[in-house]
Amino acid sequence: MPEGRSSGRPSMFARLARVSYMFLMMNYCAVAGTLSAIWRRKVWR
Amino acid sequence: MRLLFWISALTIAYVYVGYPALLVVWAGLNSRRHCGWRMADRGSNPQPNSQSAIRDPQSSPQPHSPSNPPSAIRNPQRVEPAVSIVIAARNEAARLAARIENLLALEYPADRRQIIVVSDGSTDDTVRVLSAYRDVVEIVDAPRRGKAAALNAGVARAAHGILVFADARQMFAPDAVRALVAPFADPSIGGVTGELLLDCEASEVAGRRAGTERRRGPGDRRGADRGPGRRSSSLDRRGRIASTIADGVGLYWRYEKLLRRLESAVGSTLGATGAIYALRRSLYRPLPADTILDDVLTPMRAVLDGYRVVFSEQAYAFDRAAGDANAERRRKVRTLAGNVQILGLEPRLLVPLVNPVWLQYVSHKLGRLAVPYALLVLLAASVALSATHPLYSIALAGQCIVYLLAGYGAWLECQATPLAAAGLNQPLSAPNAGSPFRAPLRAVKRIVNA
Repeated sequence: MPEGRSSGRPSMFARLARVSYMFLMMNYCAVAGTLSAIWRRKVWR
Repeated sequence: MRLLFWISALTIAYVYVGYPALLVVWAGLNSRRHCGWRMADRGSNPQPNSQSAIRDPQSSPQPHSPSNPPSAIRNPQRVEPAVSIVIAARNEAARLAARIENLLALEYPADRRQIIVVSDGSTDDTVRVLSAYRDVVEIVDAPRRGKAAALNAGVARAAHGILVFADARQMFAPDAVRALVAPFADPSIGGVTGELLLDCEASEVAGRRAGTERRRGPGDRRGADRGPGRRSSSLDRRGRIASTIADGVGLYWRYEKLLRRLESAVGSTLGATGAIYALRRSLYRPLPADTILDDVLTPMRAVLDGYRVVFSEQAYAFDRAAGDANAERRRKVRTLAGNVQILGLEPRLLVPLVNPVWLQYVSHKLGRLAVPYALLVLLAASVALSATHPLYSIALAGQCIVYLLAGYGAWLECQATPLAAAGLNQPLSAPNAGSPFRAPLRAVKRIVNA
């Protein structure tokens, strides 16, 4: 069950997994991107 | 190492749990003390002087003070001060005609609104499209100097006391401007931010609208046949068409909106939504040309001047959910970079006695910047301390579970079909199927629509 679904709705486990993924992704990817962007100064305009 | 562990753990806990809890208590105390007022509660009687408080651009609004508490403001049902709507556009020829038609169709007296569109050095047909509306739109054809400079040029042409800022892409609900300017009846309010709704949230709004209409009752149905009623059905239709999974707003966005509402209730929001916000003209100061987040800097300057910036849950602008994963990533990067830049432009934000919302600013904006580093420190400290005490072993195990769950979540996103992930948003993301950022974007969408 790759979708984490048993009857059309995502299981609690799958939901937790997605929340965890989004939480970490938003923190790490966004900050890594920000530091990179500031370093290259490509976002200032 | 123990100190590092606890500092990082408490930082994360405070930013995501402690601060919202503090706001809930704070807002509760405010409403109890002042017979609270909520932006969603429309229908209170206008103050006798409400019109004069916002009509005269030269009148001096009053910063809030202990004798003028935040929650003691009123929300008149129908106030229509003269407004100047400012749009900065660059190469938006394809969108501008529809956008201007949208503004012209607003339920707002035509003689009380001025529309200013600044072309920021457009190289397409933007100016030619605009010229067809030259009788009803003020056109500023400026050389390319960036959005901030374009806004400065637009505001310089503004003739009225309330500025409404908008973008070329999004559309306003017919009564958006009226809802947006209503809070200015309170002289302590310097700015108002509206709510930007993505298509996947439309059905929620339709339900909220229907509830509002029921509360208003039969005595106030002005324009109901062609206004809210039509809007509700239109939103329902949009909701069905744009996203079959618009059953509610997801965890993350619910959380962010809750914070915004609470911050508005206890004082001021920390910034505004660029697609729809309003500001007293007297509070506008020209933006530095390289400003990234004009919609945060401008309202925060009003707050630093002692005014409130509040959130209107009735002023809607609509947009489609981002479908281009790279665009979504760039937006996040830009937002965080802008928050860092604002610290340089307005270091007063860091001074507690100068910034009336210092606690909220540090807890929300700076806290979010600090959390990723706190997460890394926490993980490293947990590894280093895990052999010294069972508590640290448990903490390490907990973090491992979260990281493993996140890995599983990433795998789920890779496995999910585009249709399941984004409903009818799929056509937006399909052209970017090869993007390395596709999975993260789909994760956001799935959470939003969970």
